[in-house]
Parts: sequence; C-alpha cells; structure tokens
Amino acid sequence: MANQGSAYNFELFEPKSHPRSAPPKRPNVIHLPKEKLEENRRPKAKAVKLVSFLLVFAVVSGIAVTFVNGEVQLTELSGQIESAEKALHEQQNVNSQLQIKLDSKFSMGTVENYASKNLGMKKTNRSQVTAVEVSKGDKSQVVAKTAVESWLERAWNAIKGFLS
Amino acid sequence: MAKGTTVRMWHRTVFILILLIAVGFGAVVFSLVKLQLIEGPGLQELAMEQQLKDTTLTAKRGTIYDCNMKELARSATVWDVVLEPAFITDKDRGTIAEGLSKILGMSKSDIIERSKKKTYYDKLKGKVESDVKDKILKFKSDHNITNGIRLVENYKRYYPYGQFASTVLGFTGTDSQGLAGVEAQYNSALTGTSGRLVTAKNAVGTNMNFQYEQEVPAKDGNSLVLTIDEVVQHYVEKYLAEGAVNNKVKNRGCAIVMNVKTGAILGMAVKGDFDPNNPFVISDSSKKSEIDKISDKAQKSAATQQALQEQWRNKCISDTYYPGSVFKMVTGSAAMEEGLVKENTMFNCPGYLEIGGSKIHEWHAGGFGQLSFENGICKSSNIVFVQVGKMLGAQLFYKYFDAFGFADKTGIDMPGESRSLYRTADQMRPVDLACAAFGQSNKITPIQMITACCAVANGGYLVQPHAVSEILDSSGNIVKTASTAPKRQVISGDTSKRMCKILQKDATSGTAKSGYIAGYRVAGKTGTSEKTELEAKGQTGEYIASYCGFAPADDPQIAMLVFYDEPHGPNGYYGSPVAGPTFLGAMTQILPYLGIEPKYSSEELGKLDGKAPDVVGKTVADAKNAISKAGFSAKVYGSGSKIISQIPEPGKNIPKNGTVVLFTDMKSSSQTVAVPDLTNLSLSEANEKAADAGVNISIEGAALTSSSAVSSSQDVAAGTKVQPGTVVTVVFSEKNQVA
Repeated sequence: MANQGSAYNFELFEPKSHPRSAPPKRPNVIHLPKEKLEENRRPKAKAVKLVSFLLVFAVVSGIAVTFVNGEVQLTELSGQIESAEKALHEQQNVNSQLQIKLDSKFSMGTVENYASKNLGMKKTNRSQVTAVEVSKGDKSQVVAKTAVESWLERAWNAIKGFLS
Repeated sequence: MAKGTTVRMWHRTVFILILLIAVGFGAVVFSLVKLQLIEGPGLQELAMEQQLKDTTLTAKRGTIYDCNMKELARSATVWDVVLEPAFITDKDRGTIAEGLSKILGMSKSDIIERSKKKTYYDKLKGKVESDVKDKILKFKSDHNITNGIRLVENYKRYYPYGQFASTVLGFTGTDSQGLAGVEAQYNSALTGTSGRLVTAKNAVGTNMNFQYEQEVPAKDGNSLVLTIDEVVQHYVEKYLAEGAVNNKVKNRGCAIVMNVKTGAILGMAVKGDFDPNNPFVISDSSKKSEIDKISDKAQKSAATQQALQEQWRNKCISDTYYPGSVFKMVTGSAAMEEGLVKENTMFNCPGYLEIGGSKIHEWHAGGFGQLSFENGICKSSNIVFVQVGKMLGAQLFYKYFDAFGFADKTGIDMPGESRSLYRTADQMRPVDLACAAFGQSNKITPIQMITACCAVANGGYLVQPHAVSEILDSSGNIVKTASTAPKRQVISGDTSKRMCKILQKDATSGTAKSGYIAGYRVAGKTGTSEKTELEAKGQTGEYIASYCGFAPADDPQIAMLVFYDEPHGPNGYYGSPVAGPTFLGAMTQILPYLGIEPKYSSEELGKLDGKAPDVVGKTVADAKNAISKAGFSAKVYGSGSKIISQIPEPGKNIPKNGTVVLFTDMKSSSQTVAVPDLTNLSLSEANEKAADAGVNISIEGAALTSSSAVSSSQDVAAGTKVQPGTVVTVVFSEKNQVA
C-alpha cells in the first residue's frame, strides 16, 4: 500500500503488477495411457510374494500339524505300551502260577513214588556194585571209550598219563 | 502418485480387520490373563486333584531257594475281588450276585446282602488266581458291568512243595509278613520297599503325557539262599516220617543234618508239621476230628489255637529235652581233654551206685563188672559216667558244659530258639552232677546237642549253626554271606580224634550199631532218656529215643541227630531200635549223594557179598555142587537136565549165604515168586525164609556186626511178585539196646 503521507504517489510510476491470476485449474481427470489403465484395473499380483507367503504358511502349518500329530501318536503309543506292559505282567503272573503248579508235581517224593510204583524202578543195590580191592599206587584206566576224543583231549590225556 | 480407490479401500479393509482382530483377540487375551494369571493357581490345584493319580507300586517279596537254587517259596500276583455296593443298582444286583456266587463259590443271598451296604469297598474274596480273575472279567464284559466289581492286585506266597521243609521256611500272614521260620527271621530282608507312580489321567482314564510324571520304582525284596539241600531234606523227612509211623510216636519226631565243619544245616525236619500254603489248617487229621467234636465254641477255638501253635513249633530249636546217653560223648570228651581218663582206664560197674542218698541204677541189670572207659561208652554204662562225672567235679563239668555251648542259645538264624535248663556249678548237688554226666539232669535243645556233636567230630571247634547261606538282591547280586568261622575251640584235635575212634567202635560193635553202614565208617551214640518232668502230672514211662552220629569217622563231614518223643511202637522206646534205623536209612542215601563214596574193608567185603559161579550149561547135579562149594545154595526151576540160565548171572555179586536160582527150561525162566515177610526175624531166620521163597537178602545195619540183631524193615514189600533170585535189602537192628 502506498505511503499516504508522501507527496507523490509513486505507485503510479511503479510498474503495474498484474494481480496474479489463479493458476489455471488443472483438470481432475487424468488421462492415463491405456496400458496403465488396464494395469490399475487389475492389482498387480506379485508372484514371488505370493509364493513365499504360501511357502511360509505351508511350513508353519506343517510344523503345527506335525506337532499335534506327534502328541497324538505319543499318547496313543503310551497307551499301547501301558496295555502291553499290563498284558506282559499278567502273563508273567500266569507263568509264575503255572510254574509253581508244575514244580509241585515234581517234588522228590512224587518222582520217587512214580519211579518205584509206576515204573518199577529200584535204587542201586549193593549186589549190583562190584568192589575192587586195590593197593596204594594202583591207577585205573577207562578202556571202553564211548565218545570220540578231539586231538587236544588225546594230547592232554597222554600228558597226564606220562606224568602220573 | 495419487492413491487410487483400490489402495484406499485396501487400507480401510486392513484397518477394520485389525480392529476386529484387536477386539476379538482382546477378549481372548483378557480371558487368558484372567484364567492363567488371576485364577491360574487355583485352577491348577483343581486340575491336579482331578487328573493326578498316585499309585502305590507294591514290592514283590523275595524268593527263598535251597542251596542248589531250587525255589522253595515265591510270591506271585493274585487279585482281591472287591464289591463296590455304592455303584450297584437294583437293576444289576441280582445278575452280579448270581455271577459272582457261581464263580467264587459263595452264597448268592450273602452277596446280595453285602451289595446293599453304603460303602465303596467290600472285599468278597481275597487272593484269587488268574483263572478266577479271567472268569470275573469275562462275566463283567458279557453283562456290560463297568462299576460294582473291582479286582485289586495283591501278592500271594506259594510253597510249591507243600509240607516240605515247612518248619524251616515258616509261613506268611494275610499282609505277606513272615510269621514263622526264616520268613519271620528275615522278614525285613524279604519285604521290599513299595514304590510310587504319579501320573495324569484324562477324563476317559487314559494316561496323559505329564511333564511332572514321576515313577519311583518299587524295590523288590531280597531273596534268601538256604543251606538246606532239597535232596538231603527229602531223605530226612522220608525216613523220619516212616520212623514216626512205625514206632507210633505220640509227641512228634525231629531230625537235623548239619555240616560238621561249617555249621550249615543241610536238613531239618519235624514230623507233626504243617503245610505252609494252608498254615491255619490243622494237618493232623486225628487231632482235627477230635477238635471238630467239641461243641463249646470257646473251647473249640482254644483247642484249635493250641493245635496250630503245636504244629508250627519247631521242635529242633524250641523244645528242650534230657539228651540221655548221647551226652556221654560230651562228658567223655571233657574227661579225656583234662587227662582224667584214657581209653583203657578201668572202671567198676556193680549195677548201681549210691550218690547223696539216691540209688542210681545201671540200665543193664547187674552192671557190667570191670570195663574200660572205651567199653563204658560202647556199652553206654551210666555207672561208668557217674564216676567220670565225679572225677571231673562240678566246676570242670560246668566249664565244659558252657564251652560246648549248652549254657547259651546257639544263635541260629531262626525264631523261637529256647534256652536250656541247667544247674550251674554252684547249684549242682552230687546226685545232680552224677545224673548230668550221663545226660539225665540238664535239659537242652536238639540244635545245641548236634552243634556239640559237631565240635566233638571236627577237631574241637564249636561252629555256628545257620540256615541261610546268602542273601541276594532282586538282580541276583550277593548282598550278604553267612560267616562260617567257628566260635571257639572246646577240645583239642587229639581228643576229638580219639573220641571219634571210640564212637566209631560204638557204631560198629557197640550200642549204636543199628546205625552202622558198611563202607562208611560211621560214628554214633544212642540215647534213651526218661521224661521225668511228666511225673509231676502223674505220667510215667514216657521216653525220648535218640541217635546222634556222624560220618566218615576218620574225616567227619556230616552229623545227624534223630529223636522221637514218646515212641510206643513194637520196637520199644530205646534209642537203638527206634532212632537207629532212621539214621541208617537217611545216611545211606545222603552220604553217596554228597559224594562220600563207600570204602569197604576186606573184613566188611567178606561179610557182604560173594560172586556167583558160572554154572550155565552144566548138568543140574554139577551146578548144585559148584554152587555149594562157593558157599551158596541153589534153587532149581523147570524139568530140564541142563542149566540154561541163572540169577544172579555168573560173576555178579550175591549176598553171603545167598541163593543162586537155576532155570532148566524157557517156561520156568518166566516164573515169579512172592516176597515173604522178612521182618522180626534173626539173620539166620531171614536167610532161611528168603531161600525158601526163592529170593536173596542183602543185609544192612546191626546184623553185619551183631549176632542178636533182628530185622526191622525190607525194601521190597511182602507179597510183591518178583523174579526168583531177586535181592531184597533187609535192615537189622538191636532190639534190646538201651542207651
């Protein structure tokens, strides 16, 4: 604003500043090339991101499922082990009881009784034993061999015979 | 670049989603915080109460083995059948009662009554085995019964061989605690330590994986290895039982076999014992039927208790008795050790002696006259030993009485050992000393007597009798071993050797020859003691017949004591004919089993058997001639002229004066003859009767060394059909020997 107190109005001599006119309104409508239009219409599906997302999801799900499955199997197996142990314990008991019954049928008295009454067996009588009179220094030798001796046994017996 | 509509919408969608998620999960997070942090501890406690199961793991009682690891006692799982009346409805009450009554053999009405009680636990039957348990499970599944019947695991003690070694083993009670024998003595070792299992169960009852699951396994009880040998025990029990029956023993009999050098009990038997599988059942059928006749309940109960206590009582360690003449080996050893007597020290035996105003009579009327100390033992002269006792004096006598272990318990590892009843040196009057010297004053236990006998036999060392040799843990590792170190030396090795020789002579030609076994150099002493303590009750004439011996005399290994309390059989009540045959029979089997082979002297062989001459192919006349020349008699069967076969075969052993049976045709060789009754005969009578019947006899016992022995038993029963020439073993004993 011109200084009202001055003698001359120098504003008259100043170049006239043109009032700024409002910038031209840009049109709201942006004309995009056809290709871009098409692009904007369909959001860009970024393949790498999708695949990696799916992969991660699959891995995490897999871990979760595996974990849960593992727990389930563990529980089932524990149950099976428990049943098997119980069954084993029961069978061991049955075995013990049967073993005891079997032992009781084979007491010495029962065996002796059966041998003498059913099989007609008798204990060795003195008349079935031949006593041989020997002097000190006498030695005996088995003549009738029933088993085939190995070369080692024969060698050992020969050494024993030589030293005796 | 300007944001497109799509992007904005995307942003808005994400925002809304986040909001929803925040709200939704916020509630969840809030709930979680509330449950886990605020209410967490309380809920954890509730969960633990509901899910946690605390199970006691019962420990199994240890097994008892004999010295060869044969199981004599073991535990196995059984089940208690428990009724849960609170879960039983009227709908299934009848079905349950019907089913259980059939399976358990109980009254249906009784089960119905019990099912109406207001309780969760009522034990119907205890300790049923697998077969009954399987029937109950099947019944439950067939009738869809889930609650109301429960099977609770328990343990039961089994003794597979019944009465075998019952007094040594003992038995257990309802809570598997030992009540007698080694079961009681070693109860703490046999009982294990219960374990604990803490698990978590889900609503269905299945075990859940629980991070705090804990198991403290049960520690099974230790096992015992006894010194008892099953074979030795069998023979001891067999012959003891035979003797108890043959001699009509009123008050039980007992026998102990001990290793002379270590004190290990190889066999310990009492006849009049029990079955540890049913210890509360009276095993004596006659006593049981007497008690059943008692109508008064209180009296019946008292009589039953008394009968049970009697059958459980181990006579070998709990009963005291006057040892009688068996004790003379102790008095004699003491006198020899002090140098007061030698084998040939002469004594006068007039028939009786007056001591302190009392007359002490010799058992043999009229006495023995002049006889040596050695013969005094062999003839078991009471008067000789009265004089030996006087020579020792009360102080010395008591010193050796104590040294031989009679003043204290032996400390055997079995419960119920009694103390002896005796007079100390200061308490002994002259007549007490006199009677004590021949074993009729102080009362001792059988285990003390056999331990002292071992000391006489083994060079003078008093051993520690014991029934358990090792304790094993549940893995079979040895936890403890019994010590076999002797307690002390009582007499010198020289005295022991000399006394062994005297006792060997006693068993060969003295009063103990009823225990003589050819080839085994047996040493022994018989005893017949009067039960004078019964006189106070008005009973007289009751005796204890005993025999104590060891073998082989030149290197003693095994000692055996047999005694019968109140024999009333045909053999009388003297130690020799009553207890001698039991000693003979048992030791004849035990010694070869333990690897002690017979070694016959030429004299013994000469009295035993000869060789049958070969007469096959000869004419009947020539055969008879040859047999007669060899010192045998011949018996011919068939109508042929030549001998086609003979029994015994040529060169085989045949008892002296035996019969060679000759067959002259095929038909005759299939003949049989009946074995005659060869008991209660002298040697010559038995020989003659056997020869007439066509069998041979092989003699054992006193007949080998005595002319007055009488046969007491035969191994083939009279009437049995056998081939002619069969050898029958006949045992002889001296009937009129006292002590």
